[in-house]
Amino acid sequence: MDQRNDYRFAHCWKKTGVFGDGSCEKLAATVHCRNCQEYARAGRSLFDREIPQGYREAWTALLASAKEAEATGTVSVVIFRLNNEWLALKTGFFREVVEVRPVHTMPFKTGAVFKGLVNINGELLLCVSAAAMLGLEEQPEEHTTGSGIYRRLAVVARDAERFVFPVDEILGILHLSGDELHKTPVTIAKAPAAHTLGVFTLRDNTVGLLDEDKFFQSLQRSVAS
Amino acid sequence: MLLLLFQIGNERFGLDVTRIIEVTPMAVLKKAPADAAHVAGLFNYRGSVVPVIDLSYLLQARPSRPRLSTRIILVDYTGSDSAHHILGLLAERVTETVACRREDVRSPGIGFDNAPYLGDIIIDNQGMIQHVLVEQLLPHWLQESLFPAAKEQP
Repeated sequence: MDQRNDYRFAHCWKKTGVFGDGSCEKLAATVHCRNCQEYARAGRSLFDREIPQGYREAWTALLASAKEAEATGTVSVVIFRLNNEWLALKTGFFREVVEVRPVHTMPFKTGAVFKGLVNINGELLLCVSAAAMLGLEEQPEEHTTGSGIYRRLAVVARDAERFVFPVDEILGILHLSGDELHKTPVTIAKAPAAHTLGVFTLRDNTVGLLDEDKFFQSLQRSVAS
Repeated sequence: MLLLLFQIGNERFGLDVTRIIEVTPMAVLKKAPADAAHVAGLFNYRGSVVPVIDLSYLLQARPSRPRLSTRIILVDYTGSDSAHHILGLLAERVTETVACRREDVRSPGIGFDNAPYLGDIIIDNQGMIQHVLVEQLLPHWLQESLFPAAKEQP
């Protein structure tokens, strides 16, 4: 390989570049060496090294096996807990999850379901108790609010309507594939079942995926009265 | 047009990325008793046996060196009988893609009768890139020996 093209020996960024004395004329245009062609080429020249031992054999075995394809047609959901019920709602409807903050009650309006107004980034949004709306009674706490379990306020939106509801715990985001979702047993006539599209199992817990149409309709109804 | 670049010596060549299925590191190739010296061998690509052409050998008559940047480019090859095959192309310095504009593409002006796979030349700020036409890489007789199934089809 000719010396002129071997950028491993150039190290110009350490001599005249930002890691050196900064005297390189190109710095006026590129600002930092990482924007410079020379730097990129030096990085690529690292690939010109000899193949390490066992590399070809390892890749031969890897390429011989079928490619692992990720499951397609998944839907991203946020999993949260209301009292003892695990529920999920499509991630697209979540705007943010914030720490618990004071909810300002409204005289004659605040009830079991509608809680009042809450300040989210300087905007007053309607706060609804989703647990009460779905008829999930307060139960003796199975889940202690110990370490790693935090109450949060979830901000959800559909079209222009935004709602805030407190959740007892946010588990995270899950990519759910269609065949993981099972039909809600018809014998369950409780409100949360009527609001779910189906159920899936996650770490021994049964999680209900909320039907966003019904869920948002109920939210609207709860603040309309 | 987006081109995947490879280099032979200081010459740069490009392959149209729309034909590329995957770029893999260099695998161990099984020598194939082919009549052409630039057929590097065969390897098991995800369960099917794929022939690999050494582009360095084809273009400059020396085998590709075993480097980390020497890679196998798997392309969708449409034979002259319009059947689809997977063909591996072994090339050096497969580390870069270049998006080229139509106005930077020049016809080389001279035809390469014994190398019909050499296409237009693209000029960028680092020099010239020659477009390599995947479909023209294999002469008819080599297609028949590399993809024997193609011969049986009417």
